[in-house]
Amino acid sequence: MADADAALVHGALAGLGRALARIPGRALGAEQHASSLEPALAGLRDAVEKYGTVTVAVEPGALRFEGERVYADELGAAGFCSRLYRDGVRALTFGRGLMMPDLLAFALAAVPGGPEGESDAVEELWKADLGGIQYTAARGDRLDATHPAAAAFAQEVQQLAARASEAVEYVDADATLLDRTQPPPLWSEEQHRKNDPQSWSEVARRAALTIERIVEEDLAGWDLEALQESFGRVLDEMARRTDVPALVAALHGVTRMGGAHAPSFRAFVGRRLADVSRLSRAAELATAPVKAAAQLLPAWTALLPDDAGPALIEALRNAREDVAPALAAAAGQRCASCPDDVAELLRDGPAAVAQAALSALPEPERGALALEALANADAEVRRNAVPLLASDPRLALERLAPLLDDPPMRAAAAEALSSSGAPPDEAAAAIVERLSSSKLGEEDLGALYRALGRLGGPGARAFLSERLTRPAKGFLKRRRSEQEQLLAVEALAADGSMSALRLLEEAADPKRGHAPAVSSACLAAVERLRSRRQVREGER
Amino acid sequence: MKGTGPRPPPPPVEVLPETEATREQRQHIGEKALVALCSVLRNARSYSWEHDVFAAQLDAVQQAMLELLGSDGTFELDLAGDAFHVNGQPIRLQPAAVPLAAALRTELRHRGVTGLRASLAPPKTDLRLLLRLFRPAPPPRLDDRGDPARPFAVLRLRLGPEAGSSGLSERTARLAEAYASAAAFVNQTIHQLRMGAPPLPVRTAGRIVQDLVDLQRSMPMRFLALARVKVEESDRYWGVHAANVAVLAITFGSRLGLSKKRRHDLGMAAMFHDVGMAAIPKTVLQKSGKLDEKGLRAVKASPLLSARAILRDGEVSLAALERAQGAYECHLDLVPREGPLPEIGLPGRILAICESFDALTTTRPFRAAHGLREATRIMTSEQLFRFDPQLVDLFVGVVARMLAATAPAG
Repeated sequence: MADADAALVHGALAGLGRALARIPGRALGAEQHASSLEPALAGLRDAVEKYGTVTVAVEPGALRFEGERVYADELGAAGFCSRLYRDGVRALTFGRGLMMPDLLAFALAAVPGGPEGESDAVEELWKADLGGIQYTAARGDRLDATHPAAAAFAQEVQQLAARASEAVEYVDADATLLDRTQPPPLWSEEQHRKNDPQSWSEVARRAALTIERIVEEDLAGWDLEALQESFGRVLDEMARRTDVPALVAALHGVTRMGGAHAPSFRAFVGRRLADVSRLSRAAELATAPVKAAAQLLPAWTALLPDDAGPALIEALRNAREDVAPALAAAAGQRCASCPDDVAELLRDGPAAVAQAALSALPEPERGALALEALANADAEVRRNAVPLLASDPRLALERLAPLLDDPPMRAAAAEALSSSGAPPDEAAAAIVERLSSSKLGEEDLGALYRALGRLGGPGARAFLSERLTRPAKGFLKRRRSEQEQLLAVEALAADGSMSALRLLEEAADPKRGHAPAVSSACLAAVERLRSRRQVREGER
Repeated sequence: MKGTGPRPPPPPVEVLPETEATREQRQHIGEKALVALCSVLRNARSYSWEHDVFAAQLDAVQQAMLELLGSDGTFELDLAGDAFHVNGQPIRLQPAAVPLAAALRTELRHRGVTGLRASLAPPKTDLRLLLRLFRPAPPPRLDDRGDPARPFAVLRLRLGPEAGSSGLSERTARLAEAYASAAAFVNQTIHQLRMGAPPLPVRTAGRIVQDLVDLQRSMPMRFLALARVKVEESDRYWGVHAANVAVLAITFGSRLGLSKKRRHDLGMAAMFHDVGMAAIPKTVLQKSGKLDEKGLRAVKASPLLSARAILRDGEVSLAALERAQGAYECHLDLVPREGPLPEIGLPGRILAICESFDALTTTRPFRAAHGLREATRIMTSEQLFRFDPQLVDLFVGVVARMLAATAPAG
């Protein structure tokens, strides 16, 4: 071959090698690589135009044309040459009529880690059915001699082949005529589309369910770990393909799984899902424009282990606003593993995020962490944190008493204090102090009196009795003192004790000279208390 | 090329697979060449070989040869039995051309010619000389260059015993070997699974099924005849059964018009659909009477065990998942007696039919084999709930009939 001609072929093959080496693995959208393959296609076409066909030998890490190395794969064992060679391809022949679809299909089959990158390159090339690119391959239908079953396999092939030959040799001569006819297919294109969609998503969804079934029916045996790993890979691929419905179905299946191995299977899946990169991917997928997207994060986070808090916080940093609350809630549930981060979230997070985390806080950590939320900029978050402060009776008074001086928090704090289990007299003293010293609006007044009523105890009753029996005198104060008398009556009724009943009975007496409304209220309260007691005694 | 030592030998060419496109192209051009040759040789009895009447037809023959030389690098016409092969591929003819082809066949046989070769473009003079060979009074002796007195420049004749018969034998041997490899693969896989030993590589199964799909395409009837292979030895039953299911499924898939890739999926699922039997004790599998509860439970579990054997490999490509689901779903009833309707993909529905057909037509420890007719009757009546009704009708109407046609004559 003349030097110029050799250079033409060398250039074309080297160009092909370089173009293939640039194609990353896992390339689903092959069309995007057409532009990088264009120069290679042009070069190959020129070479083929001149010589009819161009055959190149495939070696580990290189391509060779007529004995000369024309391309050395920089990726070495990880490159396409090694992959082709390892899978049995020994030569490639480029012929006339080579078009971009063929070259693209060849690239997808040849590049390691492509969409079918885990399977055999020879098989992929065979399936691709390329018109302009042929290949020669070493025989692959035999077992390697080192395989333990190789001898038995070869012997069995020999014996069975004899029987098969007999079956074929006696085929009737007329029947062989049919070997030369090609009747039309039984199905139309439409029927193919309808009956055989060949969707990875559908098959993967069913395969995930099959794995779940195998584990549930205790048929996994020593393959349990391998099946777990396979399941994880299926989930990863679903995530990579943005197949949200299939992912949700698979995760729901895991949650529902029964059987002796279900807990360990769920634990495996949970640990895998807790990986930060996977969590971040889930946060992205949860924004996909499909109905199932709304179910993804709840299904995903439900499976996470207790120590997944830090990973959730990490994923939260880059999550979109609309999915952040779901991650925050999951982090809040797991606050024991990331208390400082959750505290920061409650303190400084946006309202929806802080609220979600607050609502999810588990019992032991609730009170301490809810304090952090009192510093949040959003009033609603702060208000919602207040009831949570009452979760620990030992600390409730310390946390809630100061809030009685904060007007927006006062009513909630009083209510929380009254149901916190804190020592009643101490709690009552804090409330009484504010009732005695502050000028309070009607709403706050009502809330504080109601709280006293729920608390009960001698301290509360003493104050209520005093307010009921010694109202302030003078016109301007009359209305307020009557209002407070009425509030005191309701509080004593809520108290419900014998002492409260006696106080009410005394105040109900017209001789006490209270306003008619107050006397009537006392009477009604006495009636209620008496009938309540009767019912209780009757029950006893 | 300058500066290079002796060229290394070319890599061994052990397998040169065909593509659908090249086969179709070869069929088209081969048919054109044959028809033109037939017309030319018919007129050779009536006109002098130098007559102008042949000009256009010889142009057509030459053009077809040039096209085949361009795409395949060679032109080879062979007479094999009652068929013509062009570059190793049997050529289909339209019914109207069959009598002409028969006449050509007769003329060639009469002169001891079994084939025609060209590795370069033949000049028109060679084609005229070919015409000359078919005068009513042929030359007394021929060699590979035709009449020694007026030899061809480029064309070569093949003389002697029919070339195609050895080619046919080779293809038949390949059929038998591919089938045997499929059956042996399954049996050895089950054996390895029982022993807890390293499994056979899936890649080997993939190559075997590639061969099966290619061979079905080139000789569909002989291929289908392989499904008649039956064995009595229980050790070999599962492999032969799987191979038969693969043969039936690939054939059925071809008749439905499924792609090559899809037929490969069917073949692979068929190979693996019963590997779960490895987990069932042989005593259960070989039992002739009714199975007890434990045995029934074991057999019922085998489809999931077949899926397990595939899914544990961690492959998540569409092909791998189809293989697993096909191997599992083919055992599910389309309309079960209880429980929800299962989801069964097309491979599972096709394999269910093929699997059942082969099982019914094979002697088992617990019953004798049914004939083809009885088997199809059972499948379309008492077992109909198991299958896709449209598919089973097509199978019975087409594939089962084709298989019946492959029965030995007499």
